[in-house]
Amino acid sequence: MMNQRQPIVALIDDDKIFQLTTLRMIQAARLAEGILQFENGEDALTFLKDNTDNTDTLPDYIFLDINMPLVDGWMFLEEFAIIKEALKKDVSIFMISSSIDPRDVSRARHNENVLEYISKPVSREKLAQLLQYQPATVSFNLPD
Amino acid sequence: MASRKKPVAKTSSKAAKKTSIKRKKPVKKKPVTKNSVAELAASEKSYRDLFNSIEEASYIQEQDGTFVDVNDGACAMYGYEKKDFIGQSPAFLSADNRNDFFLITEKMKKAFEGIPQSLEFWGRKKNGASFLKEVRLKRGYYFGKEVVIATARDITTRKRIEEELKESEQRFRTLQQASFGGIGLHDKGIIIECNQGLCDITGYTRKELIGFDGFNLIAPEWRATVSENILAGYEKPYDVEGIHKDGSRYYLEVQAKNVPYRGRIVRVTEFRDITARKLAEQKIKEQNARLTAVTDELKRKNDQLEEFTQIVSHNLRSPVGNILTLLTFLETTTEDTERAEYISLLKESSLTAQQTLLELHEVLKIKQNKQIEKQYLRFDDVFRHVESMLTARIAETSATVTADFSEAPTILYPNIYLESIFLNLLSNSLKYIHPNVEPIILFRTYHSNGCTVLEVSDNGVGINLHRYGHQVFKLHKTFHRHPESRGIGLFMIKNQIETLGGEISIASQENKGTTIFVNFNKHAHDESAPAHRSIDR
Repeated sequence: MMNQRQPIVALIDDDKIFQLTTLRMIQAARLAEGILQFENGEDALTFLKDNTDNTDTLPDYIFLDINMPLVDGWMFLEEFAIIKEALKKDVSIFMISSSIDPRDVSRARHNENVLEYISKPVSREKLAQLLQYQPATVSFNLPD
Repeated sequence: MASRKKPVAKTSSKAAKKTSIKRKKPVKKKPVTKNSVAELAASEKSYRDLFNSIEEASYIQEQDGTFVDVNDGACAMYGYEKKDFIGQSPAFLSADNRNDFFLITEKMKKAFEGIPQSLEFWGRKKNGASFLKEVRLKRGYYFGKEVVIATARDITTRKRIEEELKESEQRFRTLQQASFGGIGLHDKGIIIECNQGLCDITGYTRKELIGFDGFNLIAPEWRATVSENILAGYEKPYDVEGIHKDGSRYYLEVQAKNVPYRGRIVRVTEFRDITARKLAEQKIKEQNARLTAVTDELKRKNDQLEEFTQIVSHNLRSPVGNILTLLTFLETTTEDTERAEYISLLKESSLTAQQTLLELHEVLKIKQNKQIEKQYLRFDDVFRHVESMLTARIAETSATVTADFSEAPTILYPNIYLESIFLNLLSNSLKYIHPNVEPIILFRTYHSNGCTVLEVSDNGVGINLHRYGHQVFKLHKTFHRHPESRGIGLFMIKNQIETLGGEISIASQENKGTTIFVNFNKHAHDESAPAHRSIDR
């Protein structure tokens, strides 16, 4: 684990302050090698489509907000399901939103590409835990 | 000649033995030649043959009724022989106590005086069986003597059939009159017979109905249906509308059946006045419609409430969450520059939270203010006012803004809401103009299904409803990379419109333009949905 390369994280959120604080937390804890920032789903999708083969730039983890202008979290997931196969890297998605609406939570849990739904705010500890997720352990923790 | 004479005399004596003694007397008195005896015998035979050839029973009687002669018919009727009758009075043929002899004596007397009579007589046969016969009495001559000639016919069977018929008809009539419905017998619509019930339902008398065209009892628009059912021989009940004699209408259930009648097929039709049932049905339907309306209203309210919860959940939680995170940052940092940055961001988040609170408060105010004062407003006045507020922006974009309120010029609505609606829609259209198209914005009003509708269309950038349709009227939703997009306007006016029982919807195509429809009183009138797509479910 210690010798492993640090992951690349993509933050997809229109909330500037969330972007800033999350960025600082990840940097301070040295949890990631690179951090990509997108203020809506459309920009993120464009990036993914432009870098399908580029394993050096594709993110390992995506922190996805729900409510965003243009392409929101749900629409991003719909498109992601289509382009997923073309990506040369396994990308894990965490949904991170202010919403505590049970319908949102349930909808996220039933999406096969969402590993976990986390409601804001997110603590440093939680961030560290999320970024140490291994695909093998992930499947264990997944709710049905 | 003697051989010729002998049989004649023999016949004569044989006849004399059989006929009454009285008959013999005049023959004896009269001086007779051999020739006249033969003639007489021949004449008597002719008479006898003739008398017996009459099928009806015939009796020759004296004035007091004593039988002088009877024919074979009379013998057959009673089962007696001729000799049993002669010299007897009619009393011996009478069934016990069933004839009025006083009346019979009177009638005999009158007949003897030359006035023909008829009467009914209960006879008793030799074997004891009683029967009824019809008797006609006439004066006549019997070998020169005045007698009463009685002819009789057995009418027992006829009488019994008549009685049965009468009784059956009585039974039928009783049943018919006792029926609560109206029953009529008709041939291709023409009424042949009917009961009192039909008179009661239709308002006509029986006399008026017989021979009347039954189609006149049915409302014109239902006559084709009834006609079809008659032709098809349909036998199940069905509902139509009837017309009373006074012209009033009533709900009518008709049931009919083809029946044979005097060698042809006619139709028995029953009318049942089902107005009470129909009215009850209507009442239930109305109540049901009201309940459905209330349910819809509650559902709408619930949807709005859920949406509101969503807004509170998201729009308030995000700045508050940021504040919490920033506070932990502030606690752990020692750098002054960083502290200053965090404090500035804390302020920003606080302001966002406060702004959101104010907006939510505005929405709550709208929702609570259902009884807000309404006034008659001219769309044109409000439009001119809003247009003047946005003069600078219109000039900047060189947009052509036109309005046509001729179809629906006024509305009863709160002034500030209508202004808010116009202002938001016009500024939205001005905001999202297409960079390569000369902007044209059109406001117009019209009536649709009893509702007043405002339509605002532009040829701007439009919106992909397939992707964003579900978010258009939500708070803080923006679909354009536009600095002025705050996502408040449409959400606010949606709440104003809905609180007053209206509905807002959108039709749009990317790069073609957008049309917003505001139906001001959609739910106040409970009308069917407009033809375009409704976005907010």
